[in-house]
Amino acid sequence: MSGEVFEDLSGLDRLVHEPARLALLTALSVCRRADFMYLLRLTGLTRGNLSTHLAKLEAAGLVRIEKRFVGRRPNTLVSLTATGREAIDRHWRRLEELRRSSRAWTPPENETKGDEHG
Amino acid sequence: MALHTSTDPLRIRRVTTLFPVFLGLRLVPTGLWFLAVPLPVLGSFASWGHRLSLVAAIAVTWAVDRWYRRRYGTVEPEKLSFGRNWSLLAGLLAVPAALAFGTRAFGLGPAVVFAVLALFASAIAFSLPRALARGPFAAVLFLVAAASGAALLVVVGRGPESFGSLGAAFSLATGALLVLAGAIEHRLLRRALGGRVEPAEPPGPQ
Repeated sequence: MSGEVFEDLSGLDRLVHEPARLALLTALSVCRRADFMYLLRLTGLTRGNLSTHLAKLEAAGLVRIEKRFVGRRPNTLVSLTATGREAIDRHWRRLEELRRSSRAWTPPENETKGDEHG
Repeated sequence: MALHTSTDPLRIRRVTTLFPVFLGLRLVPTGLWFLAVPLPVLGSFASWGHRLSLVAAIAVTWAVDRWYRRRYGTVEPEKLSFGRNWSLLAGLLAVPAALAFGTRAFGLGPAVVFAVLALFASAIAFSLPRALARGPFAAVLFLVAAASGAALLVVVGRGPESFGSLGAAFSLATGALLVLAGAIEHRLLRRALGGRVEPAEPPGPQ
């Protein structure tokens, strides 16, 4: 059983699991759209880092980026695509399953003894 | 350089879902208008002083909304939350109507009027700080609101036969609630999204 848990852990989608991108996708999963400034405030990332993460997510087809002008100011809106929504939902489900299975996990007896003597 | 990238999913979901509710300073101009309504310097309710102060309150609310958009950005909720705004507007219209209609047409006593006022006060106290609805803070706020409303009724409307004193009490209680709730919500927003943002050009993905 221990092998399964760690195999599952290593099988997580790294594109989604990276902390900043996970935060972005989680936020976008509970709203229709959010703009660049809000995501900047929410995550605490710098503009450059946020742009890079969003570009990666857009390249993977997980988010859609729309640029517009509000008055004279440029405004960038970000929303999840259907693929992105499915990916983040699946990711959280998987994390939840991992949490449950890791709670049920007990170390093999020989490893426990080894730890005690070692 | 990430300053404080937060990955707490509960916080992220909560802040994003409730973001429109957190923009509390938008309530303050309206609250101040309600507080100013009973002031004799503005004259009777139909006077130009009242009309101009209402227009000023709306203009300031619009300016505050723009400031929020520039500083904290925007979030479009999944479902447009008409409920809160419509219930607030309906309450604001219904209470004076009930006061006027009940007092003039049926001669209903102040107990009924107070019940309507207390219901409205409790609705405001519970609906505005929804973010706190699960904690004891909301209960404290509700008690403070209800006690303020009752105290205002007793103080202002001592012998509340006149419609004017009841209207003044309602106005003061509503104004105080709006200002209080607005300030609390704004404080919550600052705590949730208070991170410093570096100025840079252009403000968007490269």
